[in-house]
Amino acid sequence: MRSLDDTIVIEAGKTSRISIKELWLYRELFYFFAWRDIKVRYKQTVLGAGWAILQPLLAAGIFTLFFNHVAKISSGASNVPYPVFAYLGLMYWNAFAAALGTVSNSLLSNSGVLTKIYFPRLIPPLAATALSIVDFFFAAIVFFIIMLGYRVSPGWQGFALIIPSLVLLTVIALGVGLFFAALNVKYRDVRSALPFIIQIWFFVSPVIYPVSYIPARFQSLVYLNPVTGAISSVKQGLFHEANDWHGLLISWVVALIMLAIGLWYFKRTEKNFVDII
Amino acid sequence: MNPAIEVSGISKSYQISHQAKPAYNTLKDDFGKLIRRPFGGSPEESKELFWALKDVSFEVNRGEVFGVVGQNGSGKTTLLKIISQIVDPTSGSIRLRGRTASLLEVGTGFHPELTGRENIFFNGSMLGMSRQEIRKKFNEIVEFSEVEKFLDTPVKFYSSGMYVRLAFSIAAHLEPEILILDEVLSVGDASFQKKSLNKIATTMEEGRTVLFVSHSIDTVQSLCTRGLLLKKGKVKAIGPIKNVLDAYAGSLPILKPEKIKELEGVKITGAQLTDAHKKLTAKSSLQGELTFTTGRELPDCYINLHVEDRRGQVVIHSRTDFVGKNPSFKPGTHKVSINIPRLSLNPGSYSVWFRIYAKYKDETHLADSDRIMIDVGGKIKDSMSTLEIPSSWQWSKVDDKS
Repeated sequence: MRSLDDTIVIEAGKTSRISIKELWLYRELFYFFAWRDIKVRYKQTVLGAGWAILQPLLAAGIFTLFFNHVAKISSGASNVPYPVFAYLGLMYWNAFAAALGTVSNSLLSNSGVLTKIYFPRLIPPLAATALSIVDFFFAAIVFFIIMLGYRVSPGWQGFALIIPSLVLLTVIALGVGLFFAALNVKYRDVRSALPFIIQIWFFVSPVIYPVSYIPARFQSLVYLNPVTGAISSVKQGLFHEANDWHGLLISWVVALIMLAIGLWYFKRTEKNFVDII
Repeated sequence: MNPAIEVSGISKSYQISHQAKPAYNTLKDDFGKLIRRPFGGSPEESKELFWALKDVSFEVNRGEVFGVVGQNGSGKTTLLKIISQIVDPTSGSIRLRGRTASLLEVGTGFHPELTGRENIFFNGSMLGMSRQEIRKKFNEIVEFSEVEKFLDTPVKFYSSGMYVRLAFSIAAHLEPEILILDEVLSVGDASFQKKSLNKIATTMEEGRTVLFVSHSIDTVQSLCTRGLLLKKGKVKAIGPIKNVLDAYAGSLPILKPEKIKELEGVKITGAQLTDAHKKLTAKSSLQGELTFTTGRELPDCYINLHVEDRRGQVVIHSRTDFVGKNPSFKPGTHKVSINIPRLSLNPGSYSVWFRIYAKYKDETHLADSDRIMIDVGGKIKDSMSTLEIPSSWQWSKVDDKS
């Protein structure tokens, strides 16, 4: 049996801190939550993990057709074929959007368990990021095949940035998602607003167009959207462009602030979750 | 040694608004409120504090099996949820000394798409078992659950009986120092229930502290040594389980037949049993007396006496017209008495109450007395029945072989 100390003290109105020790104690439960989500996701599907590849692949195809061929949007200064460029952006974006969605709904979708068993309330949202990370790696394998197919030789800096960018996106998804998850308990509007928010966020982030397409007067602001830092730093690295380290730093700072706000709001409201969920 | 569970002054209140509204808001509601009354307060809604629990304190010693009883809505489940750290108390504090596991439901977190095997691991982990522990007990759990054949079938294809058996088997193999149990035993078929009860009983012999909540008086009586009775969020009785269960049975409302109204203008002022304080046995006689005041004439009254066992089963029912004639009453105060020459009940606790049926404007109305608790003693043990009917046995040899 897991146990923190031999004595548990429950006191009214005591706001709990984030206890790393407690989270560590419950690490197996975290693992089981993540494992369950992944298992359930691929049960009764024919394609299984194939969906993780097919989604960005089809989306990249559609965007190539409409944005590249019809609207004449290109991959920017680099002479990288647009499909490679779009697939890379979409692969990251999908991981981010999926994580944001599942984290935001993680409390509601686990309400049956939350009202019956005690465990750190942070576990379901944390575990909810696992599925999109697994999906990302499937999609990433295909990305390298596509790059080979288009004979794009990637820059080494880009390789080093593949994982940090995924981490950055996960931090953003977690920060915003924790806030939404807690808000979702009280205001069910979140469920309806979320797809809309994700869609707008997609178009204001340089996923399917390069950062250089953003008007000059907004250029100083683009990295305040931390998704920009995550996606464009990999693109810059892989496609031999100059890296905007300054911008990436801004994105990281903003992401960490988002995480802090998300955690703060989550911890502040978690004691009431069960009363109102 | 310090008690294993120490609950001091626990209260829990909920805001209830008198507009029928779901517990959660939509942003529109809160924005709307903000615009209408930017400085807080909303006179259009009357809010009220509802105390689900009020100043509950008790202690459970190590190795003790403690029962919590009370009717629906008495706050039992809220109390368990607070002790299980699921709900935050409004005031008070609790100390739990020892590794604690709580079981408020069987099969919490069972996922229909996962197989029995997968659910054992997920649910076990959820209840606090480590992966190693689950692996060690896996075979035992499977054997206990009797679902070996379907271990690799998603549980959505299970019958409800199989589902519950698997879920309970996992729970039954928990080995915490403190176990908190909500009425989970009331599931599954009778034979599996018995098996589970036995399993729990053996773990209790291992010196585990158990806090057990149930409606089932029989289960509580057979498992618990001490307990407490909750009524409307307050502790009504605490102590040896027998006293608590007697208080519980005595506090149960008397079931009224549907559509029959309360008899107006009649006030029951007293209901006594002359021998209630004496040691009663099956052979004792019982004399009861009912006094009431009526403001109007009551022709053709049915006076009833009921004796209920602790489960709420009526075991004796006598009515004036069963044994003679119904009385009629003029306005004023009256006394009705009954004599039962032989009680004929096996040892146990019973409650006795009177009921008056009277016709009013061609409709039957009723008035009930309070319950009077009686304790019947005697030598008989292990009787399967409640009634002790005089009987005699004879035997003789019937063949001629010597």
